[in-house]
Amino acid sequence: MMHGIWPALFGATRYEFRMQLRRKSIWIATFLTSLLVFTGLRNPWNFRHDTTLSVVVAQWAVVCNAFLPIVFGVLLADRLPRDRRLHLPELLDALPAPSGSRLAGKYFGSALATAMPIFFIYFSGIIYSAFDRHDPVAIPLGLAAFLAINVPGLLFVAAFSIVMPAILWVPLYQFLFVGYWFWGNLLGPAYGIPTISTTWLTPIGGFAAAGFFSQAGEIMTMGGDAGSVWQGAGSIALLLASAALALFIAQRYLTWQHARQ
Amino acid sequence: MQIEIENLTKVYNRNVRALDGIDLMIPNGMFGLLGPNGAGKTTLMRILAGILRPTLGAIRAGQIDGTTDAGRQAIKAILGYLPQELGLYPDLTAREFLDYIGILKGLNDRRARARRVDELLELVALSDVAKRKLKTFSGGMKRRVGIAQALLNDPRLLIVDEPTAGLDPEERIRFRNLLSDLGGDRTVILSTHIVEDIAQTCRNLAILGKGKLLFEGTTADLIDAARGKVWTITTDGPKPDGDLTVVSTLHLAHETQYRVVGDTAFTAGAQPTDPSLEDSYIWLMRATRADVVAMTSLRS
Amino acid sequence: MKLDWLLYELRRVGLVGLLTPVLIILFFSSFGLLMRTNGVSPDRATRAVVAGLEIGVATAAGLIAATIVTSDSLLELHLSLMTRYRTTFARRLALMLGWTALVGIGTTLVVRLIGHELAPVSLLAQQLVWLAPLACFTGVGALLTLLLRSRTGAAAVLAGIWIIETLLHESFGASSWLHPFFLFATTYSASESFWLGNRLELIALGLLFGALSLIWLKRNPSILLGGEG
Repeated sequence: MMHGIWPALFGATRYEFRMQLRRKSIWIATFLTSLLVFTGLRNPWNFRHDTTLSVVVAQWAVVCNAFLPIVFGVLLADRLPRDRRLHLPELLDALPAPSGSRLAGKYFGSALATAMPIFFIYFSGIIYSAFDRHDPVAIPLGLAAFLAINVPGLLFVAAFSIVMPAILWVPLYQFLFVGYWFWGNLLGPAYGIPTISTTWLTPIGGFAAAGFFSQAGEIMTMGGDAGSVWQGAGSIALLLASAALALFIAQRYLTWQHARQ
Repeated sequence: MQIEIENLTKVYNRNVRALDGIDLMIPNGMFGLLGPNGAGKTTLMRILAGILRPTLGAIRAGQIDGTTDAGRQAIKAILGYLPQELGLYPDLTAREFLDYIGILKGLNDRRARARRVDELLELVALSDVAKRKLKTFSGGMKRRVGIAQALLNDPRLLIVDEPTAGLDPEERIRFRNLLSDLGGDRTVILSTHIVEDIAQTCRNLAILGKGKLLFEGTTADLIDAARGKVWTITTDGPKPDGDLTVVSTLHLAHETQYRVVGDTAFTAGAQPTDPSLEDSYIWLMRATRADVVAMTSLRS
Repeated sequence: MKLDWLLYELRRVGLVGLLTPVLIILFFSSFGLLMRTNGVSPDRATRAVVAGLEIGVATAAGLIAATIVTSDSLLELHLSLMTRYRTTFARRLALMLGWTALVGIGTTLVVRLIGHELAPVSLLAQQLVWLAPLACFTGVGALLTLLLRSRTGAAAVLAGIWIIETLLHESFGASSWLHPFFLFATTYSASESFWLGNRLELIALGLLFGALSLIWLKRNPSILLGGEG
């Protein structure tokens, strides 16, 4: 028997994914919210036909990323406290698998499952565009946009939503997260309030959209510069590094807390 | 595998002393752990399972030093643990849950793990419902999933905390027999309030009270110690009173039969009787309390 | 004696629960002060306080409503008691709404005392700034929790509604069919003619959702026992 990091990580990812995917509320909540998103103006069926495909795809990715990660983050917030509620830590702590693998597995598995409805909603728009424009390139382009614009932001949100409830009451975290999402993504500097909404640390993906998909990012960088490929890459790297750092600190904190018992 | 515990002390925050200098030797086979609520049994189990760190003292499981991080990890590799408050993932099926725990126990070969899961589902008579989600299981079925997960890695050390709580009488007997079979070639520590479970399965036992070791020895030793302290009183009069503990009350046609534990019978019609393990446990607890009272009155 | 329950419920809510709306108002007010020091006009700075009442406190109330429907570790025991669970639930909602109302009234009075107005209407009508979204979010929060049988799922939908109302506020202000659902009309369109109607419609919606929640609990009080794991 080997009590390695990787088998436990893959096992935890697999089962956390299954458990989260089976929750009806992740599907209902995301689809209910998406109904409201479809009333917006930047949906695939609202663009003029002279708009380039890359702009349509990237802006649809940014629109999905403006609204749906908030549902995603709130839905992930109960994953860590849920184990405590179900009295599982005593059983799991007596197992030889490293606790870091379990935390990482919970992160990847539940984030992937919660992102599935978002991906379906996003991809339904991409398929519509492919048919509407008779251009199958929309599909690989759509996948690339999802990877570059949505995935880093979702991984960033997931890291904080998984780990923060270790120190905060879940409803309080959810409330603060909703406030943060508006302040940190959508509130421009013109309001006179210091904000990170136009920086690389904006999970909505403005810099990635601007950098990799030309002008599409202008809207979400709040009128700032359109952004280069390097800025896009820098923003993605910063978001992923922040997520990794949050998970690392949480793991150290949980280990320390456990040792104090 | 023999477990040696030396001067084991656990002090929680706010100076709550859950274990106070426990010295104990747990031999191979079934070992019972008894004690009233708050005696420190669960704390001792959690320390042995590597979940809690002791404040002071040493643990040795075979050749493994259980006081170091590496030692605790090594014990976890050979451990099966069934906690008192067993948590399960309600959205997983029984087979999925056992498979998941198997992965976390380091059973990395998928086929071997699937075989082991099937064997254990059969052993605990859950094969028919293996594909049902755990949230649909009764308390007894959940308990059986609990014992199956504890056995996944064929542990050399099995720690079970209140394993028969919530089981019906048939399931309890089945479970006791299973534990006895398992105790043949490994160390099984059984912590419970149900004295009968220990009487039926364990040769050796320890009794804890307020974090201290009150008794360590065989069940026969404990029973011998209570000999001459257990009586039956059959009367149509009032319930016997005085310095005794009524263990059971049986209403007969015109009289009532009391089984009591006490140093003297007090009543003329009292008949001495052979003590059971439960009587002996009650006697020990009485004696311990009397000691404390005596000590307190001496001090005052 | 009849108010004994109040003492126990207050202890159950705890200091954190009671301080939450106060802290939200203080937080948004500090934003207003920050905006003033950055040279923003007093009217826009006052809107930060309005946003605190209309957006912050109301959202928190919705989340708390979603929480108090389900988060009772004594739920199973409670369902076996003489006092109906929906009575306890209604009392808890009333307590939460009552306390939030005190904070709301206090805030409007303080803002007026320092020489500003939350909305260009009478002091009495100004209470609708917080009352309307509070009633609506609370009713929606409770009903969603029962519908989804998941507090987290309800919180997610509330968060979705929140962000959409905030981001698409222009659409909500421009389309007359969306007016009855415009939760943050004071923050974004206080001087519009539909404001008063919007407030009353939101309160009616909140009462409707709250009543539906209570009826649902009455018809099937054990619905909460089998929630999502």
